[in-house]
Amino acid sequence: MKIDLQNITKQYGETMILDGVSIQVKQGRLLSILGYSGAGKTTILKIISGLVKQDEGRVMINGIDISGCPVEKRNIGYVFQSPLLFPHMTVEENIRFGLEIKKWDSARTQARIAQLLELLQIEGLEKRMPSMISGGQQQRVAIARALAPEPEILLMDEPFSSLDPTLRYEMGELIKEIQEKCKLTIVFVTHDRNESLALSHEIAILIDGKIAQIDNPKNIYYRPVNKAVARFMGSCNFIPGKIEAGTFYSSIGALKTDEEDGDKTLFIRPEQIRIDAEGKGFIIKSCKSIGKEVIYTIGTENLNLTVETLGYEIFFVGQQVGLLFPQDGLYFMTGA
Amino acid sequence: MKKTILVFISLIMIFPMLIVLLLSMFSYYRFPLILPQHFTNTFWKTAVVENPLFVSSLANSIVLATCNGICSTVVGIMTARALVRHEFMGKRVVRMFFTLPLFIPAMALFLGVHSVMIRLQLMNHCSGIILAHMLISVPYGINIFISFFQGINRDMEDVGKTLGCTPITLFSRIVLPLIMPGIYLSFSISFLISFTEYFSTFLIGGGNIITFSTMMYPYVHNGDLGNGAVLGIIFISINVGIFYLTEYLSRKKLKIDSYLFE
Amino acid sequence: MAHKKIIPYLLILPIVLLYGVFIGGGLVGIIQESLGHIPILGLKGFTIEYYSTAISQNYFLKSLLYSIYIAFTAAVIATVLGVVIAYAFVTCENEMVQRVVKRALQFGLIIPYLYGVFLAMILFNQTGFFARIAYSVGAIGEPASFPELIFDRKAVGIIWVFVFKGTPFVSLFVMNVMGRIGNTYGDVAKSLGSGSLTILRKIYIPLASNSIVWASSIIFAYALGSFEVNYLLTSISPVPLSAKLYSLFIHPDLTVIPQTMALSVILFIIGGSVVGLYSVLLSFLLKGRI
Repeated sequence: MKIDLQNITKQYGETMILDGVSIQVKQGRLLSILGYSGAGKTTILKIISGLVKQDEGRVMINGIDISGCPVEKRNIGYVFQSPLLFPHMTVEENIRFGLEIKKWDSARTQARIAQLLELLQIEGLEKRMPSMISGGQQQRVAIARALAPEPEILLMDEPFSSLDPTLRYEMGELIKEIQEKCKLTIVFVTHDRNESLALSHEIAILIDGKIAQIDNPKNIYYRPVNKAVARFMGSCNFIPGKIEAGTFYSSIGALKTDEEDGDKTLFIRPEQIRIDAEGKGFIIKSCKSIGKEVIYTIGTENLNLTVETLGYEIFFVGQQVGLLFPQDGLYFMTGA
Repeated sequence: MKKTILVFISLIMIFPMLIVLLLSMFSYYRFPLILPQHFTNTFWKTAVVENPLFVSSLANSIVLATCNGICSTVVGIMTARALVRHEFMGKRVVRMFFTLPLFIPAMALFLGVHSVMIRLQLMNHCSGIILAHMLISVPYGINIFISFFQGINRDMEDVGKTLGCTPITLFSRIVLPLIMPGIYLSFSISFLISFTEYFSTFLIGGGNIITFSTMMYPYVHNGDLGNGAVLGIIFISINVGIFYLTEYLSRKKLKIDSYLFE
Repeated sequence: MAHKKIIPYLLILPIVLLYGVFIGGGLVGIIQESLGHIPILGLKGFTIEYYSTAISQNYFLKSLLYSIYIAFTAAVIATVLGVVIAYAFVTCENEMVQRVVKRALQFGLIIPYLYGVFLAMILFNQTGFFARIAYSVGAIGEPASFPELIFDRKAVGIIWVFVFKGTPFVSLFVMNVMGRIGNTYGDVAKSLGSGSLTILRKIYIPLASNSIVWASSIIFAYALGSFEVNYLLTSISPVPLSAKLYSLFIHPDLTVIPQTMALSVILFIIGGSVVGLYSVLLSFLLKGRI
């Protein structure tokens, strides 16, 4: 286990920011921590890096407790939300800074800088001052600077939140590429679920100071442990009902399943439901187009469902339709 | 309209010095002549060359002002750093009272300082004068560095730490270069305050330590126009020189500034 | 972690010592002397009689009021001028003019007060520059008919020096703040269509009020307690308190020392309070609240 946080607790004054947080990250994996702003995501990174000291719990790296080790000795790369380049140094001096502090010899330093410039695709900017390059370039330099002393762990705190969407996507791809090339272990903090789903091997959901779920992106999205996680990952439908002898009975009808009997709630994402124009039993109540997708609210008397379809399937409000549910892989939460 | 007012104001500010410039070079100024006549260099001779105190007083002034500039800047950095970056007991009190010396009538302030100086046996000592001058220049220094430290993103220092900086390398490699323009500014302001301060210098220095301003006092007191004009021109030229030097030095850092405070 | 907690205290140690010893200690020292406890002169024991002596002198109230009059007039004029210049500067779009004005103001700022006195003498004397101008245009027939502007009860000369030195201080200081306000709110205000004066009154002054109060109070305090200007340009009667204090201080009769110190304590405390009152009133005026 590369990073192993055990029962981390942190309080600021009266407010409990982290309450018994445990996270494990394996060597060479990218874990993202997802949560609302102010949830304490940044605090976790600061505790791993040593900038903030936890009240209780242990930080283990490679099986060794480093809680007592000062920041400057940890060799953990940290990329902040804004690039925070040292404004009095050129791009190259910024990247070189950490190596100078660690007293690398000049040949090795030169080689490392050249390598990073190429890796981050910022060749030709070496002599520029930070104020003379664009926001995206600044963030690349910041990443290069953090990577320069060859850390095995890289912490990233919403590093792309100030960039525009296309650039964000590009940077995400770049991070994935670097992560694989350098076999880095990355902990990535974000509040953007799409970014997190696209980049991560594992996602940890932080809600109210606790890790609500930590799992791979697919499970987080389709098999959330509770409604809070489900809602956090996007719009969703909860259909209360009952399973008896392999059949789920609810207001939308009966569905086959091999789950155990009892009161259950069917969890289903809007895009998993398909609309059947020939069918009956449901009424289109509202319809909103957001470009590629159309979002419908479709319901019976006492239940409303959100359904997403691609834009070319046009239904009008008030139309009677049927709904098609997937036949297998349905996910049920316990209780009504 | 605005332009006219502004230009007019500038003329009012500059114009008295033009008369002074003429007074230093022309000796004949009987009423009702508007401008003095008869070019002469006697005043420059008597006030500078033949003045036994000229060199020593100037040297004293420069030494005192330099020391005050350094000390006030260091104290300013320390205090501002504590106020911006640290939590401690009595922080509100320090924050409220660090400008206090500027709001106490100078006479009362310095008569008190005078009584302490006697007890500490710092009368007629350069160190006593420097301490007295620090009282009225440190508040400006603190103000300058408070805004500089507030301008540095706290995370910027954290970046340094994650890259392996110890507190000392962090300060010397990152913080110090970033507040450099502030250091120039604070130094020059403290230098000018000390350089132009008359009362406390005279009070604490007694008759022993003659600075440029105490040397000039009798000329002003006696209304000695010619020699006073010469000394004044030298005095003000030095101030202007210091001012320009500071501005030149900090302009080189201006690009950083605009990035820092955006 | 314990050593980290000490750091802020080490950082503020110099200023606490400096202020504690010289301001605090100074106040204690002059209070002690003013109460008549000066062992070196053989005076021991404590009494408040020197205060009653100091206060009952017939010059006392006059001097105090005169000082406040000078400080108030000078501070108000310098503040109004300074703010107007700062506003004109910030909203003036001619860079050339801005550069010139800034230089001129900086120039005014670095002239020593002592030299301000010299300039006042050259300009306002009965044989000074303005008297000569008045003579040459035929307004006066002889120097003596030019109004006495310095060494006069109205203290025009003293006030002029403080205004001449104070205006650049206020305007340069306020200019910085107003420049920032202009960047943020200037265009918004303009787009709302308010007139130039309304923008100054409703946007710039309230937002810059803290710095205006700060700068103005410093001018006020300086004018109240300055030695060289008050002493060199004073009229014979009334005399500003600080000048009076100085004549007592250099009095050869050592027995007036307690009385001098009593006066000094009064200037320290009353002066300090008047400055405080002035800044409270000013901020009330500018913000409509304290």
